[in-house]
Amino acid sequence: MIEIVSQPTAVDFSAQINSALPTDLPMLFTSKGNIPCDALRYETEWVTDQRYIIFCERWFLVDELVKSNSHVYGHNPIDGIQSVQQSF
Amino acid sequence: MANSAGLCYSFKTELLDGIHAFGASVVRAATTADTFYGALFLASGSLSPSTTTAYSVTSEVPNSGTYAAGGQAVTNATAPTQTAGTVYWTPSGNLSWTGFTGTAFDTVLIYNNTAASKNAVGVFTFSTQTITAGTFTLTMPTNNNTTGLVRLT
Repeated sequence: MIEIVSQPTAVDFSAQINSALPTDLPMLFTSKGNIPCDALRYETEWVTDQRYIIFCERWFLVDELVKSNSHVYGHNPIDGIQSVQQSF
Repeated sequence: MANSAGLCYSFKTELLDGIHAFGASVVRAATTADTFYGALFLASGSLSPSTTTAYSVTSEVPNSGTYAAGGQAVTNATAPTQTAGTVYWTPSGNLSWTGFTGTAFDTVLIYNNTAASKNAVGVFTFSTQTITAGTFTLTMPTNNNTTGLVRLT
């Protein structure tokens, strides 16, 4: 007896994506849920140090912080460990 | 050609590869590289190179988004390398957490997750960060003898 098992097929969302109306608003996920990008104020900040560079992004709804990202680049993060052999 | 004194460059590499044990060591279960993790800690914590010996949940940031206690495995695709007498090792991938909300953290601890005691490797601090429903990324330095994450000079 041969058992035929149907394989799940991938769902194609391209039609829905392509049918997006020009009036659809781009949204951003925030602590207040999805909010139109246009409603948010966007700020960036760079923090530099000898050991790292940090790029911060912040989105505000009026004056309330509702989303933030930080990206830390440790370009010289930890001092090297020095190994020394004592002379006789 | 004269003789010259100094710690052998090969020895420094072998230290990072776990070849030598001048003191009591552990029985290793395999000859493969260990797995290392990176975990985030609050600015109110007290981690330091002199006092931190192993991973502990004390002062770790709470679970949020893709962040779970213990942190994230670091990609280790490049073995320790020696250039001009300095042996260095750097994770070959970045650490990143998404959908993450964390308040006032400033430290990443890299530790050995294969070791039963979760032995610490290094403490890396940066300015205090607060992330709201966002992404936190720690981009690793260039893996060379002057900027690598772990360097024996």
